[in-house]
Amino acid sequence: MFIPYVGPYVIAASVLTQLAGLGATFGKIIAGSDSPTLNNIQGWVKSVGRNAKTEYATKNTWCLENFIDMVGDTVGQLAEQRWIFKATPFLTTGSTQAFRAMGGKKGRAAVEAEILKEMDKTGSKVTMENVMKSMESGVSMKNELQ
Amino acid sequence: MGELNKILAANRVDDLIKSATGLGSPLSKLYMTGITVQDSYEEAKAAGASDIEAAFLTLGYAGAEYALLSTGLGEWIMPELHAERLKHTAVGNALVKGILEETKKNATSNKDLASKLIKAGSDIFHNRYAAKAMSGTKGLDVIAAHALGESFEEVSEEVLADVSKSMFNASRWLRGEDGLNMGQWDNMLDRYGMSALGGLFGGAINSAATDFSVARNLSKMDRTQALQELTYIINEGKEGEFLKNIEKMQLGSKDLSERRVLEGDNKDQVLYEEAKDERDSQDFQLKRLITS
Repeated sequence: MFIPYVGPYVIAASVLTQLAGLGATFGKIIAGSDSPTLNNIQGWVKSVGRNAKTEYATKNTWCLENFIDMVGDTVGQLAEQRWIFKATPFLTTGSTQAFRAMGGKKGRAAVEAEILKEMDKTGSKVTMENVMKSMESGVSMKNELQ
Repeated sequence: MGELNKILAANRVDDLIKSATGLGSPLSKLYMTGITVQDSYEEAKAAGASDIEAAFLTLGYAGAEYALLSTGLGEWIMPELHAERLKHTAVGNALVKGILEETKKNATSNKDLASKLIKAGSDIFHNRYAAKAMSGTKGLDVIAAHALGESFEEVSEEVLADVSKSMFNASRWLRGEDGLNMGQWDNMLDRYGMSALGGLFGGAINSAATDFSVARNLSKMDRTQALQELTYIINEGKEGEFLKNIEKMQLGSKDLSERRVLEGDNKDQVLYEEAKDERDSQDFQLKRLITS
């Protein structure tokens, strides 16, 4: 999950799998627990999910398998939670700027440079000329108010 | 002008992140809540609960879990949520930097070990380590704080599950029905212990592997940068929020006053008298310097 380039895809696949399971549980809450389709989805999610356990681990809480499971579960869930937090703006607006800006110092610096370029293009950079214009409009607005 | 434009661009990125995370935060918490509580539906059904009973148990547990994730214990993975408060705090610190350094050099704390431990716990719960994580100066203290916070959160989840199931049984008892055995409180010490250990290691690994350094290096802000930031804050009409955040932060010692006492043989050792009350403290006086 933390391998560059590959990690986000692993997280996305894991989130989609978990969401399928969640959807099935939510479907059961609404429609009742007798749906074979929803049961099948839940079964599939359990078969590929992180929660599969051996009989030994079920009976013995303090074993290496449970410890690795618990650590892996925590790491995985936290990574998924952060990925959803970062990716939501991309899913809703189609812009990757926020996602990249939250990806560390390099990502943020690149987005800042892009914004500076945009400001250059649109002429919204702070220049003496813009400041003078803004001050003039402020004065004219004041005069209008008076 | 160049420096001002850089600050303008940096602030636009902050605003972009702030508006973008508005929806990301509740969605990620809902996801975490969902995957944490989904097993309780099946457990209740397997124990003999009706569909409606199992649904209510799951939804009740989900409400409590969402509330837990909305505290500092659940939000440490999203430090960007506190970016504005952290920036205001850095501006406040930079504005009185000189005075702060002078008073800290001579300050003696009368806090006992218990108070220090309570403060450390409060810092974890209120996500104050986010400032360090975001400034790119993440050290072992931040990783340890995240690990401890995650460990506490994992145990809290287990306790919440047991409490929800017990409350569900209490509601059945009130309706004249027998309670169901859903494994609540079974091997509780083992389960809580394993959750604490898993949370501790899992939280530490995640904290170490995740790059949170999305903020500018706020801890190194100087007075000139602080004044530029302040101009931006006022220009954006955020001065009310800024003043509120300054009031909430601790700027100086709350135990010592600003009155100096000269000690030592040559009277060259500068100490500060104890504060008589809150208004007499260095913290209050420094805040008054900024807000007045």
